[in-house]
Amino acid sequence: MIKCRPGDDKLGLDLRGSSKEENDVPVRCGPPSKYLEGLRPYKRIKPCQFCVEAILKDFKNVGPPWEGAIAIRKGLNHTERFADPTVNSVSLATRANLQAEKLTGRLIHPHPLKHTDEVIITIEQAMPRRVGLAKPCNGHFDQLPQKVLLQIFRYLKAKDLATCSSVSKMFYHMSNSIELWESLYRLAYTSTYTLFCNLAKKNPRAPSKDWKMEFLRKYTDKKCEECGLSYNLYNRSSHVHKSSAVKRIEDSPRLIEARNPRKRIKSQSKATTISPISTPTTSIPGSPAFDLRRSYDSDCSSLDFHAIAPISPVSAADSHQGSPLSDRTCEEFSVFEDSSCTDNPLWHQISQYDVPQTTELEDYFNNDTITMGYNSWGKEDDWMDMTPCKQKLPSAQFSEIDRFFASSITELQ
Amino acid sequence: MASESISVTTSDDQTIQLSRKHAQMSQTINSMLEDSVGADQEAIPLPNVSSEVLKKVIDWCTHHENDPAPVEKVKKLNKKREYKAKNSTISDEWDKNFVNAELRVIVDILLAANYLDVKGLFELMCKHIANELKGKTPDQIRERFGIQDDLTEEDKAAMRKAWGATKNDS
Repeated sequence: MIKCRPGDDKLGLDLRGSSKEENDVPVRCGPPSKYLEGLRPYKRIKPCQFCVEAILKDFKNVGPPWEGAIAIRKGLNHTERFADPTVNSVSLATRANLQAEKLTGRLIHPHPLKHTDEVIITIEQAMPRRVGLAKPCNGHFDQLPQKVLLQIFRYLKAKDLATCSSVSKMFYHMSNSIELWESLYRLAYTSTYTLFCNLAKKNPRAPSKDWKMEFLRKYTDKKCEECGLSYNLYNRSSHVHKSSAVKRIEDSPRLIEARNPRKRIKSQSKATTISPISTPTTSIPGSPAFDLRRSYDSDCSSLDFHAIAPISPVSAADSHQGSPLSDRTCEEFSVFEDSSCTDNPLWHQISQYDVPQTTELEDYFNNDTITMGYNSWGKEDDWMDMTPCKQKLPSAQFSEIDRFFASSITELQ
Repeated sequence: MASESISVTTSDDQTIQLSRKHAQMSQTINSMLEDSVGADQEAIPLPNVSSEVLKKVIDWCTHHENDPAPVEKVKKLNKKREYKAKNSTISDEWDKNFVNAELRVIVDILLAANYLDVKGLFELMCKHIANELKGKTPDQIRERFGIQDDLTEEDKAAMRKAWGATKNDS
């Protein structure tokens, strides 16, 4: 078994299970220089104890100017009795292993090789810049399977993910993984995640949706002056479908008013004075908005978001002529993400919204994706956009409004 | 009747006895046990786990043997609290001491927990490593975890460009 241990730089190969017969497989490998000189940098062979050992021996002597790399990995066609969940992981992590091997000259292989395994010997050209021997392995971190790394990354916030993206190529790809961002998005914006999933089912282009872009746009949007985390959709044609998605609840405040005008008036007075949503002066008249922002009762340190859907300015103006709210978008209708949210018929109304116009969706899905990158080369203030606002919000007052809207939702049911 | 202890063979050819209760905390061993009902009592091979790591796993299982199953925990929490459960804070003092080990051991335990499918232990290790990653610069991460910087200047330039575009976009 080939092992990698801290400080252990010797090559070892245990071919337990291999026999004389297994060595009868064609030997097509050779010393690294042969392949480096040739035009075939990639060779697929069957394992052979002697040739593998020969290569390993040669590889030990390979150094500059070769700077090539040999990697041996186990294929997937093993036939063990019990399903071994690490086998897939190993194959997934092979890229990382290759990298480690290229730089350290050590081979990492957690399984004994068998004759049924497919061994791949890869000789890669040296990287443009000279790479010396790596630092001593401080653990096997770079051979962690990707799915394990994904689980680790799920505990990181956007800033730390961006930092990780500039650590290595593997980290870069992991930090930009759609799976990761989808799971983060699902955790942070549960409501709209369901909404998008429903949209995805109805539109064939939807699967290409970039969760990361969505997440970051919400997280970094500075439109809200107070908390910097609101996500106002005015003047954002690419998100029209989301704003359209709340059309069905657009009339809900009116329903509230119709049912209980006193409560409506109360909400207006409160919202006029303390709403944290900045007013987009150039908002499109009549366009509804769907605003996701951090809940008021937190200090912006955690990602417990509430979905908030303000009614359109026109609706506000029409319904409340002369009201201080007529020029604002702060009439809010909260859809709470508490345990009863999904039981709310209103929520089902949102989540089963009909797909909007195709052109709008195309605009949305054709958007450029955002790529994570870190500012190790940049200035510290590059991170300002990624830093959650620390400003505390008037939690007590807003929670009162939230309670009011919560009760209004209950009434609607 | 099934015996109360189970033998497992580790990658370094050591046979270790562990109680059935602890063994069943691992979904992998559990499924192996279910598959081998009625068969001869043989030691279960664990080719990917060394005896040193397995002992650590057994320690953790012993400490957490009375914990409710993770699935039950989630059921009791509402959505909001479920998200907070993703917080990487390790609250248990025993767990804090448990993860206070060499990185090599931590990674080995993580891989073993992944292989043995011990969810609680796996999450604990993930949290610990995530905490190690937090707040560090790329250089510090590379140094801490022994990762080589294989990003070329072209990669970095592309990332820089993409990041600039992102900033302008937002």
